[in-house]
Amino acid sequence: MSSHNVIPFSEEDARRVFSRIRKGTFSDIFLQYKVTTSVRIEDGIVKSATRSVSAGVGVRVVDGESTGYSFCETFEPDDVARAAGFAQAIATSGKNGTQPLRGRLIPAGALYSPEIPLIETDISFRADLIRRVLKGAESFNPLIDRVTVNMTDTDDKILIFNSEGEWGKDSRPMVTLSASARASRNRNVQFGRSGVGMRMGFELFESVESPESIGLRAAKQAVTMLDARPAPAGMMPVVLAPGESGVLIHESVGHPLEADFIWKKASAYTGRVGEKVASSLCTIVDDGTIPFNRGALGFDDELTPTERSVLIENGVLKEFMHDRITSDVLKMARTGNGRRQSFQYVPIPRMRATFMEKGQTAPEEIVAGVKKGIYCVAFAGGQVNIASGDFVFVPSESYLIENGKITTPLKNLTLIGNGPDALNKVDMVGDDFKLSTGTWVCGKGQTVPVGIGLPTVRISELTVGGASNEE
Amino acid sequence: MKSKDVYREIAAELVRKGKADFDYVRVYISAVEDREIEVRNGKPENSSFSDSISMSVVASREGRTASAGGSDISPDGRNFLLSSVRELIQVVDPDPWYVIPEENMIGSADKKLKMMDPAYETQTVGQLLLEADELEKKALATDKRLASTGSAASVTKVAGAFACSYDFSEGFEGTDFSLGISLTVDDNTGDSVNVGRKQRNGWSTTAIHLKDLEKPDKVAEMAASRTLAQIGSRKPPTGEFSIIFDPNSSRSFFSSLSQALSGGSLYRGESFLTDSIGKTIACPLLTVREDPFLPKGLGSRLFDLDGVKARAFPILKDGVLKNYLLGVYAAHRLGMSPNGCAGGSSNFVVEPGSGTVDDIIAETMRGILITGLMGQGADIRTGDYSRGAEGFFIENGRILYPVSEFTISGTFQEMLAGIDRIADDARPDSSVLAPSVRFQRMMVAGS
Repeated sequence: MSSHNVIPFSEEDARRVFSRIRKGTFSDIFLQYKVTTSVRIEDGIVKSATRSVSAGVGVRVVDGESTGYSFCETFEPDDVARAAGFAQAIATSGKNGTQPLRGRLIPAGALYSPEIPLIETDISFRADLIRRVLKGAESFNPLIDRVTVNMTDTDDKILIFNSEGEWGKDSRPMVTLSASARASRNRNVQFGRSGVGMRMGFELFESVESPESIGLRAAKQAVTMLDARPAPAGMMPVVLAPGESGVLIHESVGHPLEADFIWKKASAYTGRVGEKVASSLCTIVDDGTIPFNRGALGFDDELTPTERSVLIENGVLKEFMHDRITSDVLKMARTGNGRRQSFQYVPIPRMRATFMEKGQTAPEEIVAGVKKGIYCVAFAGGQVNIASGDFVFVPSESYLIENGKITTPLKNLTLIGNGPDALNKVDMVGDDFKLSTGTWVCGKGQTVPVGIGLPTVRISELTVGGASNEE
Repeated sequence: MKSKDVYREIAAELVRKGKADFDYVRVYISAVEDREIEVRNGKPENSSFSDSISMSVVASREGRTASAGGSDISPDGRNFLLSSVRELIQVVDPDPWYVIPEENMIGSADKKLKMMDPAYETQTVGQLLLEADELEKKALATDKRLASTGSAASVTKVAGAFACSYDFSEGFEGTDFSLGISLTVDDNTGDSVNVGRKQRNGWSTTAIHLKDLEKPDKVAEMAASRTLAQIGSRKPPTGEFSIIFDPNSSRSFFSSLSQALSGGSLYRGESFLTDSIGKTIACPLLTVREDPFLPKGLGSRLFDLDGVKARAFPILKDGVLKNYLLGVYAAHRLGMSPNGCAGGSSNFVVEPGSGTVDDIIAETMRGILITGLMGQGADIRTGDYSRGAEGFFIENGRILYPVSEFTISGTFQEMLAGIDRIADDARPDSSVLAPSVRFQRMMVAGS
């Protein structure tokens, strides 16, 4: 594999570094060579192009519940050994196990081999792709007066060794394209956004969505928003469209089930495995094995193979999402959720692709049952307070439901709820599951790409935070 | 990490090298050395030590611009950056608004900023460990119900350089120190189905000089009292109320305002404040200035990302918009002059009124004090504002009970016009110096 061409570091080098680590119970070396290329359209022209290279090595020394970390930005074994010295500074006890003579290779699998490779593809190919997005947006409607398109592709090669003799290498592609369109009518100015982000090569634009369609979606949303009215304020039923609404799951229950918050007893779900924490209609899964998904990984950033983890089954809490340390400290099975932004960061428990499984109700029936409520289609994002369980999610495209019909588009609203409370109020789940293909990035001190998904879901009551005080 | 002079030489050399191929070249190098310790329950949980560097080249030719970046500053690495730019620039279209800065703008302001504290050297990993541990002990000693989710101490040193065509190059360096703790407490009050509910809060302090950090006693006290005060919080009623932002919430509001006033947002038509110079956009109480020269200020600088000399100027005077925050390109697009704000404001200083947040509370008949905000619902493109919040319900000048799980909504335009009280309690540990403010009325969605 080509990672050895760009990361000149052998098993022998790794062994020499480990031999310098005298303390601690576990250590690993994470080597990365990542090339990121971006092109941007603004004012109707290809405005800029950027390439950056991020290359380096992170060394971690774990001593029970303590972690020491350091990194260097070269692959020189001496520099890596020096980083190892800094990393072991806080280790007080333990002794890393002796090195097995033969390393054990952890396979990365083949969840995301690109057909049209990234780094090898000419820059002009990228410029042509984003021009097609621009055309798709501009040709939708004359009210569209500004379009911005950004495409970033990342060729990420990693190589990991640990003190237990395991090692593995992986090549992780990612293509992220987002389009923003502005529609103006008289003095009313509104924006629309669309995007696609997948762990695959440029074939994405043939197999997932065409550039023209991505542009068109942004334009369409902007034009729709021209007719949007201020959202109402107060408690009411909320129906979530399939796909992007998975933000709800990510925020309301995803983060609080990351095991570092359980270990620190910071999460509202601490100590509650086996208890009913959600409506029986809710089965919630975090899966690292969905081919080409943004959250797909053969193994995580500490060599644990990923899996499909059922977090909540029919409303009952089953398990948390672990990295190596939390699974050791809490004596629970590894799940392969240890992820990091780059070699500059320690791995921590993170989501991969998190979603709710589909139910049995026809989506039309779900909407038809709502007298007055909100129907949410697209989202700007969300946030959660792990401890209290309060979470927000912010729709960028949503509609009023009146007497069972989706009617007026709404603007300027945030939805707020409490995780366990909202999940108990899920009273209808559609049979129309969809994974989002959007450009989701999760921030938790470090950013990582994630996947989300949801069927149509109804929450019987949630606080809708609009600015309108009309009944 | 090397000295700023070494980086300055490297940056200048790369600009000289790029001159042959490009009309204009800018190089930026920034090296960061960082030590951080986190303690939980008296034990070190994380320690990190890092020494990293990043270098970027932005180059233009015939109106086309491309850039490249990386951490390899060796001669090979530098050549790689230049060759990447040469390759990338071929697919970029000429930009009809492209402009090279005028030479007389380029330079470094003649001021002393005191951005470097030699105490950096004394803050070893061992010392940081002691301080984080001491802070945690003090905080946990205030109340038995409190649990720690981490007490952290860190130091950072930055050294770097900027160079551009016109043979200008200048180094910069600085330090910063921080100390903070996060706490939780069980909160099983009320009849919520969320039986595991906790409250979490904390406090932290950041400064350019070690001795300017808030004392550990104060940090511990603030973290503990803020966490305990939230016990039993519930939804406020839905309706219109006076809304008070404490200094932390106010900072987030004014930092959005500063983005809305930045050249990039304006020329893209992505700000609610386009074409507003000379107009009244806020109540007469509000005066804001750009001040890059605050000694030991977190955003202080002598030149901006274009290499344009920094300067101080008024942004808002008695509610009237005086100036945008402009780099060279945005200024050209808007037909204005650059004012040293490529990359945004340095220090965005809201002129203080009087008193503290407690005085504003005492003057409020009925309203909500906001101590925390959540979500992405502050849209500077349209001015729409709708965010999740937590805080305290106020009646007759007193805090009645803690509130959470509600939203506040309005627009930036209405909020700016509706400010009816400004305190004098901005925290110095940010580049946005914002005191507590009260908005006359906002829509609250709760129960």
